[in-house]
Amino acid sequence: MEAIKIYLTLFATSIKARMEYKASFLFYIFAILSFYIGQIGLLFVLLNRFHQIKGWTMGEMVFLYSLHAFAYGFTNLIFSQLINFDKMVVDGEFDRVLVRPLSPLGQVMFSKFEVSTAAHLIIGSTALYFGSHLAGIVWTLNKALLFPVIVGGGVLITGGIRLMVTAVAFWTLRNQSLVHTVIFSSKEFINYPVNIYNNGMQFFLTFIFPIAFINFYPAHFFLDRSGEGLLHPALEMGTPIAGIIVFTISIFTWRVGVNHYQSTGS
Amino acid sequence: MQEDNIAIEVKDLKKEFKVSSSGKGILGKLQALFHRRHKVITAVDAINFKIKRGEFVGYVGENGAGKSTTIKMLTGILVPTSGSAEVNGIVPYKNRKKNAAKIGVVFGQRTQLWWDLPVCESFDLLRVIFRVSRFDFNRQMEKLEKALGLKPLLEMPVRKLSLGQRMRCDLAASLIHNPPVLFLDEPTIGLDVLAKENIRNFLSEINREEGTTIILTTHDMNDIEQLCKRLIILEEGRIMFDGETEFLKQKFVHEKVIEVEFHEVGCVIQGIPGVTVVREQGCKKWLTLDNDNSGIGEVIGTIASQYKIKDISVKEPSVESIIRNIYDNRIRLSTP
Amino acid sequence: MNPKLFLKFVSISFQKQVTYRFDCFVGIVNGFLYVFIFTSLWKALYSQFDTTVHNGFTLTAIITYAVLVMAVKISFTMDDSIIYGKVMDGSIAMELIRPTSIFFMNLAENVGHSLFHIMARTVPIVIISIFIFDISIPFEPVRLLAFLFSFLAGYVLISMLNFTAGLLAFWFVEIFPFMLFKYALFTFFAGGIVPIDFFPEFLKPLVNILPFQYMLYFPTVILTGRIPLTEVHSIIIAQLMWILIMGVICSLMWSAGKKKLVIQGG
Repeated sequence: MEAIKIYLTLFATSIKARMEYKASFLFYIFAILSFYIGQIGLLFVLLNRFHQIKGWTMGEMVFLYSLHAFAYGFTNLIFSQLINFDKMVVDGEFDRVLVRPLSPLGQVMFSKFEVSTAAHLIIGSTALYFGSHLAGIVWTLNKALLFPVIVGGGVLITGGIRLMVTAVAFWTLRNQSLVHTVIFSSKEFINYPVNIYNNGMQFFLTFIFPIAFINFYPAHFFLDRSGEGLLHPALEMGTPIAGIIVFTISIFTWRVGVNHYQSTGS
Repeated sequence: MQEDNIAIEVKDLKKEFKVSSSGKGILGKLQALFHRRHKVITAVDAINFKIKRGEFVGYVGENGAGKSTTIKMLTGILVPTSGSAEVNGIVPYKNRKKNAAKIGVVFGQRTQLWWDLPVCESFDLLRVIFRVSRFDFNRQMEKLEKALGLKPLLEMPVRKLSLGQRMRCDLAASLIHNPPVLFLDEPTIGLDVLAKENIRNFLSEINREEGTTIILTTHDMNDIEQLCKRLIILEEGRIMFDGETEFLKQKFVHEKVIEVEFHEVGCVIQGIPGVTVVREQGCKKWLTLDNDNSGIGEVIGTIASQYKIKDISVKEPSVESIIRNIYDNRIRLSTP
Repeated sequence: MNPKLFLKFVSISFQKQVTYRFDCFVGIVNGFLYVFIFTSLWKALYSQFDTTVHNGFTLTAIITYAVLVMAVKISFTMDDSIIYGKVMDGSIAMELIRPTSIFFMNLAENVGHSLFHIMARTVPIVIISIFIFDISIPFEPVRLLAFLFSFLAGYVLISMLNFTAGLLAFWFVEIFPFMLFKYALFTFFAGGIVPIDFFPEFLKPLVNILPFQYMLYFPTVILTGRIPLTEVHSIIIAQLMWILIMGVICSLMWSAGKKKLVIQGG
C-alpha cells in the first residue's frame, strides 16, 4: 500500500534527523544502561538479603525484567513521539500535521526516532540470557515461537496506554505529569511480581490497567510456574488479547481527541 | 452547485470557543485550582465571502479578530460551529485529506521543514507525503529554485537558515504539489526589508503566472498595498470591509495630509474651508484637507500668502492609516 | 542576594507551578503510586520470614522509612533543566550583567518549585499514608529541628548537583544523558528505594565516598528516629562539608563556563 511506503519514508527521515547528533548516541545509550543496571542492582541488593520476593528468585525476576525491557524498547521505537505530544498541541505543531494529506496519528508516530530502543534491546537480551540461565528455563519450540507474540502483545499494551494518555493532551493541553505517571512511573509496578500487591491492585493491574500482562502472567508460562494470586491459567496467554483490546480502545480515544481538537482548537 | 471560477466560498461561517480564565496572584491561582470560570467567545461571527480563482486577497484584522480561526477552518484544522465553507469545491473540515492535497499552507512563525535535516530532504519527504511524481516534482522544483534562489540553501540544515531563507524554503515547501490555493499566515513576520521584498515579488509572480489563488493574513500593510487587489477587514469576528484595496484608498483619498513647516512658532491657520489642524509640534503643523471643498493648490497658496513656509509636503493616506482609522471608529464603513 | 528579591523569585516560580491544576492532582497520584509499590514490596519481603527485624528495621520502621523517604524526595522536586535551558538558548549571558548570583537565583526558583510540591503533593501524600499504613514517627522537638537542618542541607546539595549538571551544557550539546546518569546514581546511592543499611558490605565504601546518601537517606533516618540524637550533629557536619565541596565545584565550573561564554560568545 502506498500509505505504508509514505510512513516508511517518514520514519527513515526521522532516523536521519536523529543521526545528525551521532556524538551523543553512544553516551545516551550508556546512560540508559546505567539507569537499568542501577535498578537491577537494587533488585540484587534486596535479593541478596531476602533471597526471594513472594516466591520469585533472582533468575525469575530477571526474566520478568527482560520481557518488560523488550516490550518497552519496541514501544519506544514506534510510539516515542507521543511522549512529547502535548508540546506539539501547545505549540500549534499539530495544525501542521492536519494540513497534510495523511493520517495525523501516522505522522505523529513516525516523526521521531528514539535511540533508547537500542539500550532496551541490550538490556532485554542480556536479562533474557541470564534470566533463562539462572531460572533454568527449558526452552521448547512452543516457548520460542510464543516469545515474540508475547512481546508483541506487550508492545500493544504499552503503546495503547501511551496513545490514550497522549490523547488527553487534546483536552488538557499540558499533560506531562500524567504522561510521566502513566508511562514512566507505572513501569515500577511490574519491576516486581504483581502478586506482592493486594487483591484490589492485582485486579486493577489485570483488568483496568492491564500491564500485568506485559510480564507477570506470560512469565508463568515460560517459567513453568503454577498459578498464584489472581492467576487463572487462561491469563497466562492473555497478553495478545489484552493488547488488542487496549490498542483498539486507544485508537478510538485518539480519534475522539482529534475531533475534540478540531472543534475547539488549542 | 458551485461555479467553476470560485476557489473559496464561505457562507454564514461561525466559530465559537469556550475559554476559561485563571486568577491572579498566589491566592487567585490557588482558587483557580478548584474552580474556573468559563465564557463563550465568538471568534468568527457568521461571515460570508467568495473568492474567485486567481484572486490575491488580503485578510487583515487585529489580533483576535478571527483571521487565524478562519484560515484554520478553511484548511481543515478546525470544524466550524455553524455555516459552511468550500475550498476548490471541497468541504475542508469534512474531507480534510482531500482538501490538504489541493492547498498550500504557510504559517509564518512555524516551519514545516524538518529542523535537523538539509532543506532538500524535507522537500523530498513532502514530495512523498503529497504523492507528487518525481517528474512533476523536478519540474516544479526547477521553477521554485529559480524564482526563490534556493540553490545555495538546499544542502543546508534548516536550523542554520536565517529567517528570510527559511521563509523562502517554507514557501517552496508549500508549493511542491502545485496547489491551486495558497494560504499564508503572516509570511513576512520578522523579516528584514529585503527579504520581505523577495517574498512579495515571488508571491505576485506565482499569482500572475500560475493563477494561484492566494489568501494572505498579515500585519504589514505594505504587503497589502503591494500585493492584494482585494482586501477583507475583520473586526471582532465580523467582516467590516470587503472590496478592492484601491477602492478603499480612493474613498479616503480626501483624507490627504499636508505637513507644513514654518519658520516661526505660533502661526495660526484659520478661515480656510475644509482644513483642520490635526497635530502641531514646534514649527510643524499637520493639516487634513477635505478636497470636496478646496483644492490643494488653493490651500497651499493661501497659507503661503500668510506666512513664510520652510518646507511643505502632501501625503496620501496609507492603507495602514486607513485601517487604523477604521479601528479607531473615526471612519464608518458600510460593508458593500 | 537580597532576601526580598529571593522571595520574589520564589513566589514567581511557585505561581508558575500552580497554573496547571491537572498536573497538580496527577502529581499526588504519582507520588502515592511509589509509596504504594515500595510499601507493598517491603511487606512482601518481610512476610517471608519469622524474624521481625532485618538490618535494624522492623516492618513498621521500614514502612515508615519508605513513606518518609518518598515524602522527602517529592519535596525536593525541582526543574533540573533551567540552567541547561538558559545555556542552550543563550539567555545565560544575561546572568553576566545581573548583579545577583546565578546560583542563588536558581536556588530561589527551585525553592518556589519545591514549596509548591510540598504543599500540593508531600502533605496530602503523608496524610493519606498516615491513615493507610502503620507508621511511627518519634515526636521530639530537638529531632524535628535536626531533621529540618538536615533536610535543608540535603536540599542545597541536590540544588548544587543539578546546578553543576546543568552547567555541563557549556561543553556538551546534549546533556540529557548526563541527567539520566545523574538520576541513575541518585536512584541507587541516595537510598530513595532501598535504605543504605541493606547494602552489602562491599558496596559500603563506594556509598560512603559519594554525596548521594546525604541528600535523601540521612535526612530521612534522622526523622524516623533511626539515628540517635547524639550522632545527629556528625551527620549535619558531614552534610556541610559536602556543601562546601560541591560549592567549590559549582563556582569553579561557573567561572570556567563564563570564560568559555566570553571567549566564544556562547
